[in-house]
Amino acid sequence: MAWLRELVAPSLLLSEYISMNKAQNWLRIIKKIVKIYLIIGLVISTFQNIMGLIYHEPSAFCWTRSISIIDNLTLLFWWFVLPIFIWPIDLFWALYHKF
Amino acid sequence: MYERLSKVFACHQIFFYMKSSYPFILSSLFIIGLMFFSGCIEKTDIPEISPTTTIYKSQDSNQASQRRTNDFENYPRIQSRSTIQILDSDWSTSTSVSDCINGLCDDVWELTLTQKYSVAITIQDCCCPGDFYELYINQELIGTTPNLSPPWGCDFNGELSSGTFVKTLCPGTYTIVVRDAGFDGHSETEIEVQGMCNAGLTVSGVLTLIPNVPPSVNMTYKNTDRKAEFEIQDTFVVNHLLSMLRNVEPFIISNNLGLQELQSSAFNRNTLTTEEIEFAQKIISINNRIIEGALKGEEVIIDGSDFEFIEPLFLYFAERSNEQCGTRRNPDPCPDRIESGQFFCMEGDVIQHLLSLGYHKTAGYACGFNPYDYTLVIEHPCGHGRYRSQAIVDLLESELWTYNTQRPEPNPEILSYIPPYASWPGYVNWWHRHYC
Repeated sequence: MAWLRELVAPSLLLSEYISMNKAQNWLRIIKKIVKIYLIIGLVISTFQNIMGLIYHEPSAFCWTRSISIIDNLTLLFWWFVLPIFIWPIDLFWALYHKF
Repeated sequence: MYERLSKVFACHQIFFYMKSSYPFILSSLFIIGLMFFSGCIEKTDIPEISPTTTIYKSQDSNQASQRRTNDFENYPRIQSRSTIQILDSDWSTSTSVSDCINGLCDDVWELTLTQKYSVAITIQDCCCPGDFYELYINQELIGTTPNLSPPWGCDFNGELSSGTFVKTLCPGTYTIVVRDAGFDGHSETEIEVQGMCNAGLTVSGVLTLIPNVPPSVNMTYKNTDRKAEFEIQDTFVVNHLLSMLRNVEPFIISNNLGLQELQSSAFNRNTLTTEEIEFAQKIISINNRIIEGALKGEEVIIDGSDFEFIEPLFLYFAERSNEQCGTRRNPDPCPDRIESGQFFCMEGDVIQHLLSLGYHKTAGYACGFNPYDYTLVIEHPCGHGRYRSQAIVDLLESELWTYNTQRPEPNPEILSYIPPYASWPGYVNWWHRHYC
């Protein structure tokens, strides 16, 4: 039976390799999608906060005139970091109320 | 070392990713464009009230701008030139131009104002076609009457130039100078042959006092979510109606038939005023119509006019029944910007006025360091500090300062109060950027 084992073993390894490769592909695609999502959010958030400075609107890119770093971090989180993650929600409600 | 750092910061991955996912970057930019150009972020044009109206504008703007800096003290003065002093009053002067070179009028008017006035100055040529006049206030060209030449000269007949210029002036002293620009481009001989010098004209001024109009109390709110417009009524009206309702309620009783009526004691004891009795009777009338209709099984037709007298109260209750604090799903209505109707001569005056009303300069992060943005925290059912009245200081074309207000709106100074719910700061940011 040794000859049979020798014959089958490589094929088993190959199938394992293929399935593992498929999983890695999926993981890679998911990672890619997440990166796209975050980069879109980053671009939107950055753009909005810069526009806020130009057009005198709320902007996280301002010093709060507070020595406490917590205030500045709070502002940065709510007005810059969070929109990176929830930009589709903001976009949806903006369009919903617009049309 | 470099590779290690690269791994830490993953910069190379981002660049690689950007290169490999070019279509996705394009789509993301498209989405951003959609957000910004679909009107999600709309820049509100602040309407300006301009009390100044120039009836005739300068014929030659370049020429006008050049002459803005003219110093009349350097012009050769003529012997007959006199200064007419005017204090807070209208005037009319028949004068002449005997300066045949520069065309300066023989008279100069020194107008002293103790209050804000809208000053309308009319220049009317007297005699010969071709003369037209420039009006200067404190060496600034205000305007020029129309140049109607040809014909030019006293040998011809033609329409005479005239014009009225309106300018709002703050308290102070102003020197008014008129110059005959009809001499420009003509030689002394031409002027002499045609008898254009001396030129006759009439300069008159009418002063209109500018009162400070108090800002409107009632405010109209547009609620784009519910696709309806409604008014938040004056608190005084609502309180008055509530008070009347409380007073009359104990005297409204139901009879055996189930219909409502006003107790006779309401009249006897003289506890209700005439207005309250009328109010009660209106309520009883409507209620009885509904009850009678229900008893007979008929449809009762009641329209808005039946409830007109109590409408502010209904709107008040409707408003209170809504969510107290805005959310993305049910955002606060975008209030209209209301002009204050108050005008100030100095920037400091308007700021001092706002400070006296309780406003403070808005924190830089909440307004992108706008130096003209002021905030007044207002009471709101949502909680203290969470809503504000925004005032924007504005300089009008007439060089007067004014301000406009917008209220109530979620307070963007999120670090100055405790948010009503966790994601409130995000909502405030969204509301200001995308909703209103």
